[in-house]
Amino acid sequence: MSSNMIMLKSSDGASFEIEEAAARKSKIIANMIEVECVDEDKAIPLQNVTGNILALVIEYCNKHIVDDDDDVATEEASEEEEEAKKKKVDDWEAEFMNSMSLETMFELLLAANYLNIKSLIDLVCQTIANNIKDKTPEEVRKIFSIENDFTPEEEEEIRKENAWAFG
Amino acid sequence: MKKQTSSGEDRISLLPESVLCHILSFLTTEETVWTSVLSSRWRNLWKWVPTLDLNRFSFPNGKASADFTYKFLNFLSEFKLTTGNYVSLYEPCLRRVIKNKVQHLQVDNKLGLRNIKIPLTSSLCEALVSLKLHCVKLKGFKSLSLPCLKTMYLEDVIFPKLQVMIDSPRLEYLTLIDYEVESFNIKMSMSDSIKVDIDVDFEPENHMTYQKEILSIIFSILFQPLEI
Repeated sequence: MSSNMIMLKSSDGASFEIEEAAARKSKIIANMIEVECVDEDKAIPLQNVTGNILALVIEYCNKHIVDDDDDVATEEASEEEEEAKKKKVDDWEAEFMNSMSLETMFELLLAANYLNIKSLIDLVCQTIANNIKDKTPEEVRKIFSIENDFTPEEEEEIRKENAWAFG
Repeated sequence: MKKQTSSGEDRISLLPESVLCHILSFLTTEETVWTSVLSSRWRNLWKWVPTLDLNRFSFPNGKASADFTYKFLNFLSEFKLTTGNYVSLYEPCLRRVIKNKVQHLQVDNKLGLRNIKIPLTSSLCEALVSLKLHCVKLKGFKSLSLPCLKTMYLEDVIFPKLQVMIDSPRLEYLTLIDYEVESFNIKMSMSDSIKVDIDVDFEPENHMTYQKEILSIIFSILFQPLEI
């Protein structure tokens, strides 16, 4: 690969080298590159992202930049090939999300939000939403350690307001 | 569930509201509504979610469903309605979402009677990006301008009898499925790179006329570089 490399520095001082094409997945960094705010010798400081989370972000971006290249190179790929490729990415994403705790997921989501990486925000939100789907409110409170601060009367009233949704 | 937050800290409720709403947008409206009972932080969050994914069969009756829909459709970008009602309860709701510049509209009629009327009118559809309709009837119009539309999926849709023009210069995906076409008298514009999937059959008496219309659509598309 001959593309430019960019240095990123996490809030706890760890430095990471990343291809420009991968870094551009972040709209914030892409904008910085556009307005030539990026000095080749200096790392871009990311104050809101720790090293372990930034490593995950970079892993995601690297994975997805390769896939984008593939799309361009094989425009005539058959539907089957395209499906196989999509499945590969889906499997990778499932494995990627499955490997982390909920706490890591929240940090990754905040980092993706800060760096403005739309597809990663969607992936993490979808995964968190899957933890809410098909559960009871009690189960969701337990999974996410949400404290129920309603009195039983208040809770009853909310349930009555939209009784149809609690069927 | 193996993934409980180990520290026992409620991290999810600390996320910014915009992010929480984005998480909720991946759920059905029924699911987002019951999150209101989780804690006071979640009490009103669902009302800010810009998508409405409603299944009529979650409600005790059609009126309750239509009333709820009408009440909460202010600034939706996405509206998905699954219903089976053969009264036009939803027409005011549909008029309202379209008027409020909805971007993604999906109406799926499970009853198969094709009697929900979709009030699409020319000046009001400027924001629509995707339109998916199943078993509904398009209300009469002469021409329809859909300047942002990219995806159109029409399955078992009744078209107006008189000839209509659909101007959709950005249309990239067109799917047309119908095994009992009664009327098809449409001229439409679409993007150069359109992908089309047409699977239709005709009522015997209309066979010749409409087959000709469809063929002429396919024919006009074929003069552009495309994949069918």
